[in-house]
Amino acid sequence: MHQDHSHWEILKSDVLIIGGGFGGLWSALRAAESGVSVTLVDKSFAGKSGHSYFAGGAMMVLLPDDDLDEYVYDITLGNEWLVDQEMVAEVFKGSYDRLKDLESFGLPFRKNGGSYVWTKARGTRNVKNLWPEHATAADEVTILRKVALARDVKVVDHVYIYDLVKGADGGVAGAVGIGVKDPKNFLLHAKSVVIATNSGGYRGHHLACELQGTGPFMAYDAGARIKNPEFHYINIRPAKHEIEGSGILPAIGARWTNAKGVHYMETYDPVLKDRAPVSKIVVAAAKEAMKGNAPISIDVEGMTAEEREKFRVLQVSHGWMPILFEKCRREEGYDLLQDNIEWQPAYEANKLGVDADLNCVTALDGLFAAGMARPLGINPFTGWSIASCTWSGYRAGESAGEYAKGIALKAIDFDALTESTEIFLKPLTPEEGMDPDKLVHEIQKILFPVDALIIMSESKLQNALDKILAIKAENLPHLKATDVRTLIKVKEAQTMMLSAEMTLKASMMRKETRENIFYREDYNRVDNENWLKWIYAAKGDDGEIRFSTEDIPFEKYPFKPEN
Amino acid sequence: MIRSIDKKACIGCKICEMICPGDVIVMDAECKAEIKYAQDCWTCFSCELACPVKAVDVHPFRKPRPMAW
Repeated sequence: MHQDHSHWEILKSDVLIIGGGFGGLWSALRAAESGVSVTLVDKSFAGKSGHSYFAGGAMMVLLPDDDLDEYVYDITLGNEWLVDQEMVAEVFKGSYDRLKDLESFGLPFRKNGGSYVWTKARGTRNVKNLWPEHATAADEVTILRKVALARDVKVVDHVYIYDLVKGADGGVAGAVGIGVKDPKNFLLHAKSVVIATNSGGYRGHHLACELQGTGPFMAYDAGARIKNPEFHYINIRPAKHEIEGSGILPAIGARWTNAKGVHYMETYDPVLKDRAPVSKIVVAAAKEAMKGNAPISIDVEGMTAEEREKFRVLQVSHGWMPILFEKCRREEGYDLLQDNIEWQPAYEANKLGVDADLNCVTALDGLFAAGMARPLGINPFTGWSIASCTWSGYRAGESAGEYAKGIALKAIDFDALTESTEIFLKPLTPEEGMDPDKLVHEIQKILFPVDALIIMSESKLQNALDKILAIKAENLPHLKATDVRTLIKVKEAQTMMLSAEMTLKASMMRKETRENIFYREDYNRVDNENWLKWIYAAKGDDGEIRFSTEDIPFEKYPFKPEN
Repeated sequence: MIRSIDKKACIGCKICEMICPGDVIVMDAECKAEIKYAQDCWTCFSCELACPVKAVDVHPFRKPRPMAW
């Protein structure tokens, strides 16, 4: 961990991509295809880390005979009007070509008699989800990595990027990182950079335990804008074990029930009932708990044999799910299809991202954003994540490649580089200090309870913010690292503190409710008059968060709310 | 969370160490996989699935973390 740069590993390329999931790998493929040199860096093993590897594999696709407007309308409605409709259209316009690309890479999608097999995406009327044949998203990203390597992308695994590097002219000129397994300093010098690191979070439930936001927030620190800081993805999960995918049980015949044995979803959504979107199920469960009706469980007794089989085929037939279900049955003594177990809402991820346009260009010269690191809407529809990360990865790779073709490598501002490295390494210096894991636990204690980000109100948000600001003043300056691993954790904890402050303040700004994506009990109606807006956050000259809002440009869009 | 690695069975192929997204596993002096940072395990089962000799055991225990209520 030297600061003398002569000891550093310096890698030069035209395009640098940070993150090895769908967004990053598609960026790498596309940029390499255009003839530029590409380096892709991942904090773990690109293609096997992050969220992409663990996704189910469904991908929304607009087939040649489908109507683009119908798709755009459904996704817009699912985001309750707060989505960039032009971006949604772009995601679908390229989707069939990317499907064909995947097939040409050796990953066929399910067909029956020459036609693609599809399922209707939950929460939409017309959007089709296509499924890889005998495969999950893990197989998809594994293949994308192989194709990237075949196209001469230099893949650098196990290097954690902690800051962007600026050129002497102020544009982004690369990134600086540290080896996770071998603690070497890395300077990744490039003409353009794609940030594809996912959004952020607070080390939430199960696989979301990796989400902490270094990517978008290092762009924020360098001068980029953050969009959608007030939105989150909160799921509902078994209370005792880390089990994915079983939340679809009520969508196929099971029913939510409270401690009194009441099937309560009829009260909250008389039409969709137990098939309501996850966000509504989360709020309903929270309200039941606040009324004293916890524990909440899924009643599987009324499921038919056919419904149980459907669940087995969809969720328990591939990848790691069979092992997980078998261990619950054998060692914990319950079967998710036989026993009614307790569930609780569980924080997963925030939905903020680095503001970027339809070409994935950010406000920072030389910086592009792909995947969940850029805003891709708020509603986490099944199949949307892979489709939108694929589109933005491809587009960002194209843009970053084109940008790099016209210019030479920018001269590095070594003074700024030395400063950011010193800041990163500083927590190694003090003799004593706070363990970053402990600080993260304190953040989770503030943000994960039902009355912080699930059932929101001015007083609850202010209460949470006061606690966060107290930690910021008392503990944040005194985090202590003992090795590279804890040094990274300190950086992540600092990021989560900033993210928590930003999200709580932004949530107080939005004084309305959009029932499927944002629930405030003190402003419990949609306010289209005042809140057809996006919230942005940028770093002020004084280091404080500066918020702004912009009207959603409905004059450019095909669909507008009627009132 | 990862529960155990059977060192007698481990053949030292390093696959689990390489693919673990949480960098939970290290190789010991005898090139056998060892659980070093169990608290950082994602419970993703990647290591258990990838192990060619089935030496790794992951359990769906919930990590201790604050709950909704």
